[in-house]
Amino acid sequence: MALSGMRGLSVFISDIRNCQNKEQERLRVDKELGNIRTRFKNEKGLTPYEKKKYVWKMLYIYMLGYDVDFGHMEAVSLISAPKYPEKQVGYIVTSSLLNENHDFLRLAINTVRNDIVGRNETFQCLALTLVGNIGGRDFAESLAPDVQKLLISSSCRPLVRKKAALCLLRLFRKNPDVVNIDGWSDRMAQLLDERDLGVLTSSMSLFVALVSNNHESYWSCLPKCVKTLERLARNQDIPQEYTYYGIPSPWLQVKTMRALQYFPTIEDPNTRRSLFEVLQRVLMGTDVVKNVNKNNASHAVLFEALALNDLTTNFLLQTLRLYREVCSRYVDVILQLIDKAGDFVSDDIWFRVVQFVTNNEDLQPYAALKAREYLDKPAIHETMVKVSAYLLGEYSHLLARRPGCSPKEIFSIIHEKLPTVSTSTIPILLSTYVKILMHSQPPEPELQNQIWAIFSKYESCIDAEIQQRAVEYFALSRKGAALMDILAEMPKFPERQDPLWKQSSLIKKAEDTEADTAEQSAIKLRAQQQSSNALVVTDQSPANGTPRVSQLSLVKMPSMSSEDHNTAEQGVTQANGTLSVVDPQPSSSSPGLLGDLLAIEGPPGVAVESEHNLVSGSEGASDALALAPVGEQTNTVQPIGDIAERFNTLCLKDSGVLYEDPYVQIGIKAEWRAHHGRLVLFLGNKNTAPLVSVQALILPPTHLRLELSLVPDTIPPRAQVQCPLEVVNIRPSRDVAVLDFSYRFGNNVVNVKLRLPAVLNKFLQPIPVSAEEFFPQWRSLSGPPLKLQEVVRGVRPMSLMEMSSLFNSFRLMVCPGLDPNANNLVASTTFYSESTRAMLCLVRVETDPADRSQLRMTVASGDPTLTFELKEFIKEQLVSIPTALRPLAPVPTPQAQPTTSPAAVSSDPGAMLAGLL
Amino acid sequence: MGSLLQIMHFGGNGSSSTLRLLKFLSRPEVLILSLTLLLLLQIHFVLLISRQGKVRLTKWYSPYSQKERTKVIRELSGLILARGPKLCNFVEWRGFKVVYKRYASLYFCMCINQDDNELEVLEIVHHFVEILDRYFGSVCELDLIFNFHKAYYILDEILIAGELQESSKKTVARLIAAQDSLVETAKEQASSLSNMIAQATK
Repeated sequence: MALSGMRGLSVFISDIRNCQNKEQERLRVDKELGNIRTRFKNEKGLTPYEKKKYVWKMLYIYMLGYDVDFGHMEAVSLISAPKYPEKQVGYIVTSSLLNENHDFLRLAINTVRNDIVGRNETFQCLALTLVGNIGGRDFAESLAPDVQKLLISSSCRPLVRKKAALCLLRLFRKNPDVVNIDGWSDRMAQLLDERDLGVLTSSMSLFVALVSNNHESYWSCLPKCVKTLERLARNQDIPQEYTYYGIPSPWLQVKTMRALQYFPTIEDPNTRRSLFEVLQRVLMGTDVVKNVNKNNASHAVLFEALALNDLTTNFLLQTLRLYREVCSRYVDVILQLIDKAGDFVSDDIWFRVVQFVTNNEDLQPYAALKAREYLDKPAIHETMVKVSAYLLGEYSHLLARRPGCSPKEIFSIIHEKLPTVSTSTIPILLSTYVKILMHSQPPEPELQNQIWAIFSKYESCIDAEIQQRAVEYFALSRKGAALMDILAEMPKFPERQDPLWKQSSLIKKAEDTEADTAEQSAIKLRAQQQSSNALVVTDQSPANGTPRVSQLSLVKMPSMSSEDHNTAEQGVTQANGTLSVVDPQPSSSSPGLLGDLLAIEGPPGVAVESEHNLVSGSEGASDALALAPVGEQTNTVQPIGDIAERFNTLCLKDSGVLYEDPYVQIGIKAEWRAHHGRLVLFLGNKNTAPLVSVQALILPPTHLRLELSLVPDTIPPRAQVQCPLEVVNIRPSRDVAVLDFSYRFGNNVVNVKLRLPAVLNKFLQPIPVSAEEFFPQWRSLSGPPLKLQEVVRGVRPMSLMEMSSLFNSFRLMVCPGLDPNANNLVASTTFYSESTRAMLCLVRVETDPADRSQLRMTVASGDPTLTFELKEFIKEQLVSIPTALRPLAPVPTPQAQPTTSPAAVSSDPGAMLAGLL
Repeated sequence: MGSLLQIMHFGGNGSSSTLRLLKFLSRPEVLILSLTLLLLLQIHFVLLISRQGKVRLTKWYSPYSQKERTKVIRELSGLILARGPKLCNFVEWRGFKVVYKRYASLYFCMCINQDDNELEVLEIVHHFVEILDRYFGSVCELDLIFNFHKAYYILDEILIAGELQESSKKTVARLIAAQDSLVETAKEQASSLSNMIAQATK
């Protein structure tokens, strides 16, 4: 089966293979290209077979790495051939030679569309494959509805529908704005009921894309995903051909779990239980087996399952158990390895065991016991002596009650090995002896004398290391109790040296959870109340006038049972604490924040408990809306200060006032760490009457995950409410989150939309780089899309010094001296998000001293989106924004008016954005 | 040139089960439980490169210009061909991850996002190889050289838009067989037609 079925093509390939060197090959290729070019010029004389053959030759030459800059037209024209063989070649060669940006593709759109809407299913398949692989915007605009129709058509066979699903996925992913997916949640739910696993696999990929864009619309699909997983995990109704090394389609399992990861929580207890069972099955059923493919496939599923950790706490604990099992297995395996093949085990490996055991307290007794067992063997490798001696010196006291593990016994079994070891091992043994001595306080005189005798013997050893240790240990061990401090157990190694440990925030979370097992119920309660731990601070005298002792007190708002009210709340806030998020430190207990109260005038503070009844925010607000007289309140409430300016200030600072008017002041304080952020909104009522119908909604951009704790419906007179807001940065973007805040005061309903300063630069961490670090990085990021350059005009006039400090203020660290040209500026920073993790970003700005209004900027990072977004972000900071047209007093739009009133639009880009959302 | 599957590399198996377990446990992909929410899975491109650095198949799902394609191939063949047989099957490259596996004289490579599930993709590679093996009957590099167009047809039945389309080997085999017979039929028709014309114009 070695011939292509096209003689000319086979001969050509053979010729190429027979070429002795590159030069010959080039000559042969040039000859062939010349031939093809001549034949194509004279197209009339070509039979379809010949055309097909030449197009294949072109693809072959192209694959060899030669430029083929003609003949694209011929390849594309074959698409419209009436017969299958030519059409097939046209489609395949076109999609291999061209990419979505080639203009030639436009010529084919009509033919492709005819094939898609036509009745011939083999043509449909070819067309869908082409569009799925290289379809760009033009295709999305003209074909998306047709593709959608095919996907849900009941008359289409699976082979067409699975291609339609992936074709649609590409069109949607590339141009989400063009593909209309309104009302697709029902269709998606239907598609997830599909019995054909090929169609289901493709549909699940499409579903992942849709859900990642917006999970809210697809809640109804969640149980279907769990059902699919159940079907796969139990191997129910899965045709043999869809199992892979005995595992029911691992790919579909992974994909389905991926989709579930986009849902923050699972409300329905039955669905939750089913998922838990599936995960348990995956966790327990995954074993290391001989077949490498089965291993890979089952672990692919296992790791995907682990990523689903947020959905159940129990699962987390099991993960921890599994993790520990893996750890002890690791120790076992390495010790076995040292035992069997000690000569081949480098020091690194046993250091690693020590490090590993030191950092995992649970492992310590186990490792010590294992080490003790190995010492019983008649002949052991020297490396084993080292690692056993070390482990027993540190941890043998944990075995104290076991037979054969008294300090004396441990000492003598180790000391037996001393005559057999080399000088490099003796220092380790000496340390072990002194540790044993330390752990057996008060020391048995006999053991102490034995060990001292050894130390004094080595005090005159010719090896400096041994001598020094012997002298020091001898002196130290005479100091009695002081010994304890100096020789205490080694501290844990820093995490970054421990790859097994460092990644696992999951494990830490699990540990925290486990540590609190005794408090399980308390935690659950807390988790339920998470949404309501807003802190109310007030300085108004209580009604009865009795001053309280404490100035500030934590007032727990009446907590709703989150189980019951979730549905009602979802539309209102993002606040629903997922049950699995267990935060052992409730967010309100941060005393530092209390010091930063915003200035609210009033008598010396005394706390009162809030008495009002907390109604569901949405009801309260809608009532207020209904009652608010429409015409009367336009422009009655003016903000104090410039909202846009306040926002800009907060982009560079972490605390300050976000908004203020005669009735209310909203302050903000933020802490940022890697891709996490924690903002606290301080909602202060400046008046002597309560603010009611208070409502705060977060309109999140897709790249941030935001969770605002519940905002009370009423703010008591002269009180301040603190609402924590958790932010997680998912990927680089310059979009801005908006706070939609409204309240009623008397007859005034005020509604403002405020941009939140959770902007791109908050997720930057300045990092200094040296020339040695900078230049290799800079060179390795060689061009678009990872490195982008742009000439920026209309730059605000500023000196290089000012520009440096501007850069530093948004956390780009300027590295002076890196660029030899004094007019240039080089800066570096690290960007954090879930998708990029920590990513180094490098920036170079070349200025023109003669013309300060323009500069050339180059931005580089390991992520194309990040590079682009960062470049745009810096540009925004550098170019001057025309301010002259802005009205003097921006007006928060009263609720009664649509938020897109022209005044609001021109006053604040945030409001404009919010209007669009 | 031997069959790809017969001398398949399992990534440097040790002889004893202990060594294999050790190997497995110390592979970074096993140790690092990737926890971040993942980007959409997408295979950006597929490359088949021979040990001599000859390209046997390229398929690009993300838009790369001709220049970029050449550069990527050059860079990756340098990177992957130089790696020892016992090294990990995943290489970080320009902020992406390249999953590769060597079968006899051929390296199969797929480029994915950093956060994608690399084990899953490694098995997509194997799935593809098994289907090629079934179609050609113990596939070897020569098959893929002379029938490179068949390899493209088959890949198109397995992946679209960089996503797995079909996980049943049987279904893929059936669809490819149907395509082959369509081409055959067309050929026969054409030859009988030209016979008729020849007859008529005699």
